[in-house]
Amino acid sequence: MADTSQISPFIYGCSGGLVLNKDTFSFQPGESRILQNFEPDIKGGYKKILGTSFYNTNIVPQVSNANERVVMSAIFNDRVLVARGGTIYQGDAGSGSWTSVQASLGTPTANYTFSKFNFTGTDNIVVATGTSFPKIIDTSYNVINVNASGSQDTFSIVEVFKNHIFFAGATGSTQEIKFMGPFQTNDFTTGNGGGAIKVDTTIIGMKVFRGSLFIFGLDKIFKLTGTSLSDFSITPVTRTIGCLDRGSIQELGGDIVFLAPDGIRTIAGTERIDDVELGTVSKQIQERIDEVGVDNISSLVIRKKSQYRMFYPKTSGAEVASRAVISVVKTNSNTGQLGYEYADMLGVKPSCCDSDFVGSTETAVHGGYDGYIYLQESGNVFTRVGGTANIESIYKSPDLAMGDPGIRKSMQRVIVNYTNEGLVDADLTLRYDYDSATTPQPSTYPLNTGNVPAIYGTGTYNNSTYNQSSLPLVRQDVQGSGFAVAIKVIDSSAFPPISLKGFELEFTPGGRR
Amino acid sequence: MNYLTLTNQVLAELNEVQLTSSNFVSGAVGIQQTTKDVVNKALRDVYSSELEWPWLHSDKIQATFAGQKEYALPTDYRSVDYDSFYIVPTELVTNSTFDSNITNWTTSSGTPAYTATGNGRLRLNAAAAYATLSTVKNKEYRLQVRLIDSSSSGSSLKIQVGTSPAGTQNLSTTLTIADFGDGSILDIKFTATASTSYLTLDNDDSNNLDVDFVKVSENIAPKKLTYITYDDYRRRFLSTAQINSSDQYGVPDYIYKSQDGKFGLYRIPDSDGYSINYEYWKTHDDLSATTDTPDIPARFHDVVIARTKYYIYQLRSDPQFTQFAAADYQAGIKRMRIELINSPTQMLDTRVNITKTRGAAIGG
Repeated sequence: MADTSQISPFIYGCSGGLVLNKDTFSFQPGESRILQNFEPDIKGGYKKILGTSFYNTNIVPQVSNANERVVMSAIFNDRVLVARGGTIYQGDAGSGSWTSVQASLGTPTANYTFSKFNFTGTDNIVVATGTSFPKIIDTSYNVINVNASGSQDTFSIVEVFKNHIFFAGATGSTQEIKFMGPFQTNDFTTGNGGGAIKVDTTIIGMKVFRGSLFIFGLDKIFKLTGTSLSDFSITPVTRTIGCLDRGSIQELGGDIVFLAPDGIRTIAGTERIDDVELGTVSKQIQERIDEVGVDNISSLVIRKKSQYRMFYPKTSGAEVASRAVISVVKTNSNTGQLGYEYADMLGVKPSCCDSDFVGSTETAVHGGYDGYIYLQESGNVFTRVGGTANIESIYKSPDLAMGDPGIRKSMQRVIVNYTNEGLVDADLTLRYDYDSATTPQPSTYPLNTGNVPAIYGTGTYNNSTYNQSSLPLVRQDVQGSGFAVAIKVIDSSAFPPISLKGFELEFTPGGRR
Repeated sequence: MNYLTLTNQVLAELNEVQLTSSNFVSGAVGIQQTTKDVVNKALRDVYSSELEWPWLHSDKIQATFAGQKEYALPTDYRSVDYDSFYIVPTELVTNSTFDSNITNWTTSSGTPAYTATGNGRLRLNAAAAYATLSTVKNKEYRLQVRLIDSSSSGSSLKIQVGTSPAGTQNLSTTLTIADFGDGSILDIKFTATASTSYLTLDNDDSNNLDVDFVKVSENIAPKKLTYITYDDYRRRFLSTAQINSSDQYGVPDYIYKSQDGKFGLYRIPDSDGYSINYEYWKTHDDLSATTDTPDIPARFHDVVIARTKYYIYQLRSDPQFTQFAAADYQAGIKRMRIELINSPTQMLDTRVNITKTRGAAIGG
C-alpha cells in the first residue's frame, strides 16, 4: 500500500569524524560536530572507545618527590620499561613490584626517547635521556653506558637506521646528529663507520620511514638516505615546515604523522621509490589543533584500528579535563575516499606512551603524571588513582537542514542503527534549531535496546541472546520540530562500547514559519 | 483539564515537546509559549461563540436605595437576562441558613453549636443565640423558622424579637415539634419598634433542637419587574421620574437598560429594604496559573484543543490541517449548542391580543 503519511525520511551513515571547520550548510550528514570518546571505527561508524586499567597496580617508585611524572613507558621484552625521577625500572603486568634497571640518570627535563633494535640476535633498546649518556638495555636488563670516547654527550633523541644508532639533541649541539658504525653499540669512530652530520635547524626528532631517516627540525625537515658512512646523504624534504614536538611523530598506515605548526601533517610515501609528499590532514579540526600546547605531547598508534592518538595534556591540568586527538585512517563510507577522520578523547592524562606487541597481542601503555603505568584499550571505564570513572562519550551530528533550511520539520521518529558488544545504556537527544533557547528541546530518550547477539563459538551463557540481531535498528518516537535538527548520543555507562552506524530521521515537512 | 494539561494536549497532538509543572509558568519557549497563549485565545473564541453558556451564568442581588433609580451592572457581566428581574424584600438575617457555620449569631446563653446534619443547622442544647436585625420602626416583618427536634424530646424553642438580646417587646412565641423526625416551620409576623431589633432563639432544655433556617424580611410581596426599553422609559416615565418629589417614589414596577451599563427602576424605590434579584452571564478570566481550569465542562475541552490547533496550524502555514481543525471546532461548537443552549420546544407568544390573555403557551 502506498505511503500517504507525508512523512519524509532522511538517512545517513556515521562517517567523516569530527569536523570543526565547516559552516552549517557545508557539513556532510555523517560528520560530527562533537565526537568525544567515540572513535571513527574502521568497520564503519563511530565506536565508543575502550577504557584504561592499571598495567601494574604498583606505582613506579619515586626518586626525589611524589610529583615526578613517568617520562618513559616502553614495551620491551614483553614487559614495560619505565622511567621516573631519573631511574629506569622494568616490570610485568599485574601486581609485581618494579625492578630498578638503571638509576642516577639525572632529573628528567623531557620524555626519554628510545628505539628498539636487534643487531646480535638479542633484542635491545637504546634510551636517550637528555640528562645522561644514552643507555642500551638488553633482555636480561644489562645496561651499556654509551660513553665512547669522543661522543660523551647527553643525547635526548635516538633512532636506529640501517644498523646504525643515530643520536641527536645533545646539549649545546642541537643541530648535530652523531651515529655509530654499523652494528656498533658504543663506538662513534669514523674508522668503524661512525660519524656526525649537521643540519641548519634545531633537531626535534628522527623517524625511519621507507628506507630513509627523516630528521625533523624546528622549522625544516630533512631526509637522510644511504646505507653507511660512505653514502649517507641528506636532502631537504621541506625548508619551511618543522615539527613542534618529537612526541607527536608516529608511523601510521604508510605515512609518518607529526604535529607541525599548522596542524597534523603527514609525510606520505608515493608510488615512486624514495619519493614522499608532504600533506596536511587536520584542517577539519584546526580549531582543536589551535588548542594544542606543547607542554608535553605524546602519541601512539593502535595498528589494528589504524589509529593515531596524540595526547596533549596540560601539566597543571586535571586528569578529567585532559585531552587527546584521535585520528583514524579509514574509508569514508559516504564519499568512498580514504582519509583521516578525527575525534576527541577526554579524561586520560598520559605523560608518555608506547604501543607494541606483547606476544601476539597489540598493547598500548602510557605512563601517568601520577606515577602509574596504565594499559589503554582495556575495560570500559577509565582507571584512575582514586577509582574508576565512566567514560562520557558524546556524538553530535551537524545541524541537519535535510534539504531546505527554511522548511520546518516536525520530527516523528529516529531510527538508530548501531552494533553493541553488551548491554547498552545511552541517551539519545534531539537538538533543534542550533540548540536555540527559544525552541523547545526535548528531554533525552533512553537508548538501551540491544542485547548481545549469541554468535556460535563466542556467545556466553547468561550474557548472549539467541536470535538477537547484531545490527539492531532502534525505532524511537520523538517530539519537537525545528528548521534544523541535530542528533546527540551520550553514553556515560560502564557497559561495553556501542558503535553508532547511522540514523534515519523521519519527519513531516511543514511550513516556512 | 487544567491550563497545563490543555496546553500539553495540543503539544502532544502536534508532536511537540510538552511542558511540565515546573517549567510551565516561566520556562515555556517557542511553540510552547505560543500554544499557551493560543489556548486562551481559543477559550475566548468558545466563550464568544454564544452569549449564554450555562457555565457563565451568575445571579446578582442588588439592594435598593431610596431615591436612587439606576444601578450599575456587575463589572464582569457580558449579558443580562432582563426578563429575570424580581423585586423581593431584603433578607435581614445574616447567615440565615447555617450552611457551613453559625457565624453572625451571638451566644446568649449556653453553647450554641453548628451541626452539619442536613444542609447545616444551628444546634441549641440548653443554649440561646441571637441575631441583630436592621429594622424600621413600625414596619411589619415576616419571620420564618424551621426547627428539627433531633432528640425527639418534645422541647420547645423560644422565639423572641425585641429591642435587646432575649427581649420580647415585638415577639415572644414557642415552637414545638409534635411529629418527631420531621421538621416544623413557623411563619409569623412582627412589627419592629426600633431601628435595631434582636431575634433570639432559646432552648432551655438539655436536648438537641436544630434550627434549619431563620428568615426575616419586610412584609412586601415579591414581584416580577417588567422590562421596557430605554426609549420606552424616556417616553413614558422619565419626565415623571425627574420631578423632585418623593411622591414619585414607590415599589418599582419596571426595569430598563440605561445607555451606560446600568439598569434603572421605575418607580424609583422608596425604601432601602428591597432587593433586586436578576440573572446574568459573566465574562471569564484568561487562564494563568498551571492548575487554572476553564469553566467549560471537561467533556468539551476537545473543542478548545481543536481551536488551538487551528491557530497553531495557521501559524505553521499548514492550510490542510487548519481546515481539519476548523471543522473539528465548528462541529464541537455545534454539539455544545445542542447540548447546552437548546431549550425545550416551547415558546411564548408575546403578541398583544386584545381578545385573549397574554402569554398563552404554544406546545411543540
